[in-house]
Amino acid sequence: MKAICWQGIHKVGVETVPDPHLINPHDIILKVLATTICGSDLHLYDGYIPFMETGDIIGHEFMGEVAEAGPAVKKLAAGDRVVVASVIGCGECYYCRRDLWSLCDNSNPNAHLAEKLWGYSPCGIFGYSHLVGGYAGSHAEYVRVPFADQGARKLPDGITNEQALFISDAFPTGFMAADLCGLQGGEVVAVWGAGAVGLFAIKSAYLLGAERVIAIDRYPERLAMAANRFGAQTLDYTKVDVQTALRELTGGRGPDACIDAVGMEAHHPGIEGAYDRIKQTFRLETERPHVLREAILSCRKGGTLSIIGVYGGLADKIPLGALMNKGLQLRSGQMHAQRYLDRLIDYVASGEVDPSVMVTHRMALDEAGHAYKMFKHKEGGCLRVVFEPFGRR
Amino acid sequence: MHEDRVHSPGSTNVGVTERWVGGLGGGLLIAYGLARPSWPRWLAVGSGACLVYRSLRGHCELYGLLGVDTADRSASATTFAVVTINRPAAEIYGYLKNPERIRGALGAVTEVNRTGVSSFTVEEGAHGKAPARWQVEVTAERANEFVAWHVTSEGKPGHAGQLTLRNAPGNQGTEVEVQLQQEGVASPAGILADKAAGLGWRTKVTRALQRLKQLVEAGETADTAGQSAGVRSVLGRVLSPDR
Repeated sequence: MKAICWQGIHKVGVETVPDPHLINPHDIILKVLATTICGSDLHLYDGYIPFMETGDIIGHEFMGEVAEAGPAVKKLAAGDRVVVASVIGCGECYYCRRDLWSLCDNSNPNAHLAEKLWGYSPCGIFGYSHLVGGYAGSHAEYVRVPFADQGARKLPDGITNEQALFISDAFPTGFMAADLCGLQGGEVVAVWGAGAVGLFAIKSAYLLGAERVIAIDRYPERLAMAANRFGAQTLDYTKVDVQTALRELTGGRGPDACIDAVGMEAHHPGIEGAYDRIKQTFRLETERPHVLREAILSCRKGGTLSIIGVYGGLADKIPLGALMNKGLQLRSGQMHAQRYLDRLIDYVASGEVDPSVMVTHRMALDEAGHAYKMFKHKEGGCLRVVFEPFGRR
Repeated sequence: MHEDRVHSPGSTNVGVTERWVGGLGGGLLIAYGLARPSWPRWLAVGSGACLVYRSLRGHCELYGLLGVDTADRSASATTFAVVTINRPAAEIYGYLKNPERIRGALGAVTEVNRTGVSSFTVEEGAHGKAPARWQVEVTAERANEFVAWHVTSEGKPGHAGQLTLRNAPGNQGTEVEVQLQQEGVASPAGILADKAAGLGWRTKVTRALQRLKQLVEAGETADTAGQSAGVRSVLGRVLSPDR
């Protein structure tokens, strides 16, 4: 089959690889109907996630049709159209049973590596380095899905492939970002990053009761989308001082909750940005945490920080004094997709959310190199590229 | 998964003779370094200072990481590992009573055969070599609480072991603890060789407990062996952590 493989920093390509096969009884083999490049895939592309190996099949956001089911799979059968959570959970460990799926104890075969780096290991993730399992990813014609009864959900007929696709990762990530804010109704939420995850976070914050959402980015088309389609106020961080602007927009109090939907590769036009870029280039820190710093300083006293953008290792110059003395609540994590799948499918089926508006480009797997380059540089207003290995359905 | 030596992390793990030799050697290095006019002197001074510090403290961080202990030779081969399994003790105990299931947890083990009421033979596969055979005698056990055993093998040091089951706080699963006491003295060089080959006792026990946890909780072990991949680099094939 064809698959997009990681071949080094800023190098991906299509290779012909063996078809996947069932390894464990709870596996399915999925025929991939749609898979998309996630913002976090750029961390692999840019070489900031350790334990990548040439030949690794990348991609973790996908949906498709069950081609084959293992003997222990109870809820799925060949021919079912499903969306699959990007995080792999066994459904039986301490964490899965508490709905903390991305912390699954049993799905990362390389847990010992993650334990060295982080103390304890999170779950396995499709196509996202050997640190989180080394599972073959979804930018391929077929993909093996472990613990399929837990991570895959059948789709109702009314949902298109492109609508379902984002329920795999971006939508639950944005939704969890808002959920972590503990909204009670009437809050002001600031969201850094107006990519797909940030846009879903804006929508989700409104769904969960926020009165006002402020989106922060620098790309005009993304800010326009945040304003026009999702009802956010917008700030272009290249034109305003974000901390000052947020203070002014919130009557001097600051946002009740701040969502970091950017993570380790934040841009900043000033000296701080240059400082982070130099340190990250020389691996003196693994993150460029400008957004995290800005969110800590901007958030109102006693507010909540929701960190959903991906970080991998060590960050420098984090204003812990502000965090502590302002009594901020810090919440974070890879999203627990399985917790939200059914609810999000309902939102899409009812027409309340249409995730397909994120799709700006559709391509074949063979165009992987161009697609990644275009997505990285946001060329042509690129918000999301979708690969359809078997063409449009 | 938590694993640790029986000794606390900062305790003495360097033997008396080694401390004397290290301390004197370190002093000589410092003196040599200070007498040299060139910049590499500081390398000798720094190395000597590290050796002196290690000797005075009696604790070596590298030994700690590798699980080596030359301070107490009799205790140097005690291995300890613990994991919490999200199931009641009775279920785990029942699982362990089945030799076939034990085989699943032990990874490299290819066969477990019962030879008596409380005895087994265990065969461990080796790449291109004749398999190693071990005789296992269960020496004591109490249902749902512990199992103790003794292992012997022709031409190799044996070990005594105990697996203990304890309710986790709040009845949130069961803490499964394994302690192994190797018989015969394992030299630091031997332990290092085992470590280099990824065969250290701590690694083996920890991985076995992790597999046991996966099998009991999830019914299978997380595995990616033999899955699809593109062209690997030569270096990647050698260094790959899961291959």
